[in-house]
Amino acid sequence: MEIGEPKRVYTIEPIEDPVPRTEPEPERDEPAERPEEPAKVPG
Amino acid sequence: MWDVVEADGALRLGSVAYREVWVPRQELVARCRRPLAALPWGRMPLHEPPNAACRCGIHAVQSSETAAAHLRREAPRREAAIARVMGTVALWGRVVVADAGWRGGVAYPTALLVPTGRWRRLVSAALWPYRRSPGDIARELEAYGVPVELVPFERPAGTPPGAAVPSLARTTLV
Repeated sequence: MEIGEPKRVYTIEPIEDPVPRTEPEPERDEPAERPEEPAKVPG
Repeated sequence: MWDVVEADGALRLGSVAYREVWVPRQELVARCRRPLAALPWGRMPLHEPPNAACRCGIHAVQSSETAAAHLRREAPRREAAIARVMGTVALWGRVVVADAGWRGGVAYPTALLVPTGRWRRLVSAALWPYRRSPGDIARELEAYGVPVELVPFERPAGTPPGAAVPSLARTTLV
């Protein structure tokens, strides 16, 4: 690809990684932890 | 700008210049192929791309018009290519800045634009009924983890078949 004459050369180190390395977690139908049983009220 | 090719049973971005597949969620590191391609007495010594005196590196240009002009001259779409998409790209490592673009040592797309349009849909359906639709292509390219947009593109009236120039208001294009 013709992009013309080079003018400058830089070394660029990105502040943040430009590559999204990990896939997002799929949404779960069930909660991750089972909710606690409701406390029994002494009666 | 990339060709969309099939690799490992999925649609992937491929270089328009070489048979190089861009792996999702992994940067592409440039390799200089010129020292091997040239005649022995004309070879440059092996070097890390991009080198200012060579043409190596991952190329990006400033406008869709520049990219389209290059493709018309030098890179007709390969038979294996399912589609051609545009987008923006991050370049880092060593980067050569030139008049009309950049050559980088390391790259990864930051956004992808899949052209769609009535003309394209009709021709595709007639000639390649088993080829993927722009929507299918966009969905598969989401594997790269960057925004993927469907962009309407209609061939302007009177434009010859080999002169497709998508008018996209974007800047950095591969």
